[in-house]
Amino acid sequence: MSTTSGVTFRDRQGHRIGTLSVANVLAWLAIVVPIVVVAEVTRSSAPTSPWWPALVLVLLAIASAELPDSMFPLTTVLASAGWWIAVVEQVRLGPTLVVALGLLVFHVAAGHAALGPQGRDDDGAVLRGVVTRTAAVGALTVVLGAVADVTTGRVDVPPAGLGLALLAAGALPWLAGRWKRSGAGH
Amino acid sequence: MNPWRATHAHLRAAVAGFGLLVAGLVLGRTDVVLLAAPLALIALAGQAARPQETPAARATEGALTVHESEEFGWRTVVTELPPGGVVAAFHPGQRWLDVEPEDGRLVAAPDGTATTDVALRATRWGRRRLGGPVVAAYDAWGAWRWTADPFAGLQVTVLPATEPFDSSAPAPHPHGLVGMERAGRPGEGTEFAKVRAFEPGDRLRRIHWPTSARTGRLHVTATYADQDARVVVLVDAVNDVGDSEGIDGAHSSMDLTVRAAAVLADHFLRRGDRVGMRVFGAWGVSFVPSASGRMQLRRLLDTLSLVEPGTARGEDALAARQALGAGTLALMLSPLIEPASTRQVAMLTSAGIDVVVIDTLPQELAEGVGPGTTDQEALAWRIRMLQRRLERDQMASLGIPVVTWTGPHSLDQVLRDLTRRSAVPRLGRR
Repeated sequence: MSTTSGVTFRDRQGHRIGTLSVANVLAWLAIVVPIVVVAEVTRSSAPTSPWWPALVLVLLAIASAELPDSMFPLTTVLASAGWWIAVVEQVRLGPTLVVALGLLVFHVAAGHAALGPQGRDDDGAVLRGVVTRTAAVGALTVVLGAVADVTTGRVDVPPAGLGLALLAAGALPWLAGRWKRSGAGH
Repeated sequence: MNPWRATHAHLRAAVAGFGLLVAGLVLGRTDVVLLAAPLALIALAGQAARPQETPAARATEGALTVHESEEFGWRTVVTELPPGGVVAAFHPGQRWLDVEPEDGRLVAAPDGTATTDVALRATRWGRRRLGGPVVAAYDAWGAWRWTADPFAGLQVTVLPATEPFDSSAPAPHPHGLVGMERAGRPGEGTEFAKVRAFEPGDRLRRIHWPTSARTGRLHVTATYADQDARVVVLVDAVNDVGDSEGIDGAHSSMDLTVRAAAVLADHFLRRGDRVGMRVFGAWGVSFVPSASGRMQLRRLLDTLSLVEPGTARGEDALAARQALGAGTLALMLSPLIEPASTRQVAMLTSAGIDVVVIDTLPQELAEGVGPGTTDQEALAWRIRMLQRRLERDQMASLGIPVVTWTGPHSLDQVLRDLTRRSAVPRLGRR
C-alpha cells in the first residue's frame, strides 16, 4: 500500500499526530499569506497606524488555517476590513485591489480547506474548478475597480451606484439559476 | 425539506460581503464597496447555486474476511449531485488498520456522480468493527453541504497470515487412511517397499514383469500405504506479553503464537494431515476437532482470529488431554509465562503424546527488562525469566523438545528427531 507523501508524526503509541506534506504546507500558506499581504498593504497605506493589529490579523489567519470550518475566518475578514476602514484615508486603486483580492483568496482557501480533513487527497478537477471560479470573481473585481477608477472625477459615480451595479452583476447567476429551474420544471 | 445546509464559507461571504457593502454605502467609500465586491459576488453565486436535488449515497458495508496485510477497499458512490459538486469521503483509521489516504479524499462529480475509493489494510489478526466513515457533498461554490446518513463500519475478520512453510520433515505418528506420510505398514500408496510374490487380490497393474519373467512366477510391486498424521495445535492464550504493532512492527507473544499456529496448521493440512486445535485462556473458543482439508484450515484460522487472550484463566490442566489420544503430535505454542502450561506439557507427555513446545515469547522480552516500567517490575520479570529458563531446561532433560519460534523452519529438526524416536518402543501412562 502506498503511503501519503510527506512526513507523518506519531506519538509513542503510534497514533498519528499529523502529516507534513507539500500539499498541506501550500494549503496553509494559501490561507495565511493573503492576510499577511493584506496587513502589509494596510500598514503601508496608513504608515501611522499601530503595528499590533497586523499581529492580531496574522494570529487570526493562523487560527483560521487550523480551524477553517469555524468563525475564525469570518472574524479575520471582518477584522482586516475593519482595520482598513479605520486607518486608510488616502485611498488608491492598487492597494485596494490587492486587499480585495487578498480577502478573496483567503476566503476561497479557507472555504476549500473546510471541505474535509486537512491533508486529504484532492482531485485535480476540484482544484481546477476552484481556481477557475476564483479567477473569474477576481477578474470581475478588477474590472469593477477599474471602472470605478476610470469614472472617478469624470462621472460622478456614487458608492450607491457601484453597489447597485455589483448587486446587478451578482444577481445574474441567481436569475439564471431561477430561469433554468423553472424551465426544467415545465 | 431541503437537505442541504449552508456552510461557514457561505455565511462568511454573505455576512462579510453584504456587511462591507452596506458599510461602504453608508460611509460613501468606494474602496470599501470594492473590498466587499468579491465576497458579495461569491455569496450571490453560492445562493444562486443552492442545490435542490437530494443525493443518494451507497457504500461498502457488511462483513468481510481478509488476511493480515491484505488490502481491501471501501467505496462510496454518491449520485444526484448538482453540477460541479464535490464529495468528501473520510474513513477513520484505528489501531492495526492502515488507511490510504489517511485524511480522506475529495473528488469531483463531473456528471452528477462521484465515486471515492479508500484503501484499507488490516495489520493484525482479530475480529473488529471498523469506525464509521463519513461522506459529505458540496455544491460547486462550497456554499452548501449535504451529509450522508452515518454508515455502519465494516465488520472485518482478519485471519492470521500464513507465510509459506515447506518442511520436508515427516510427522512422527502417521495413521489414518489418506495423506502424504509414509506409513510403517504396506498398503496402497506410492512409496516403493519391495517386490513380492503375487497374492490373490493384488492388482494386475502392480505385476512386476521383469521379476515375473525371470522367476517364472508372478511378482508384484508392493508399496507402503499413504497415510495421514494427527496433529493438534495447543494455543496458550493465557497471557499476551509485549506490545503489538501489527504485522510490520513489533510482535507480542500472542502475535507470534497465533501466526505460528496458522503457519503450522496450513503446513500440515497441505500435506493431507488431520489438524485440530485447542485454545487455553481465551473465552469463547476452546477446541476444534481434528479434520483435514482446506475448510479445516479456514475453520482454524477463524478460531485463531477470535482469540482474546487472558479472558478465561484458571482452566484445569487436565483439559489439555481431552480428546487427544496416544500417537497424536501436539504442538504447544506458549510464551511459557504461566506455570500451568508447563504442567500441561508434563501431563501430555506422560500420556504418550508427542509434545513439541514452541516458545513464542519475543526474543527482546526474554532477554530484556520485560513489559514493566518500575524497578520492582523489572526485578520480578528477571526472576520469572530465570524460573522460566529452569522450566525449559527441565522439560528438555525429560526429552520434551522446546523450540524457540524463529520462523517456520524452527521445527524441521525437531520433527525429524520425533519421527526417529517414534520407531523406538517406550512406556506410556494411560
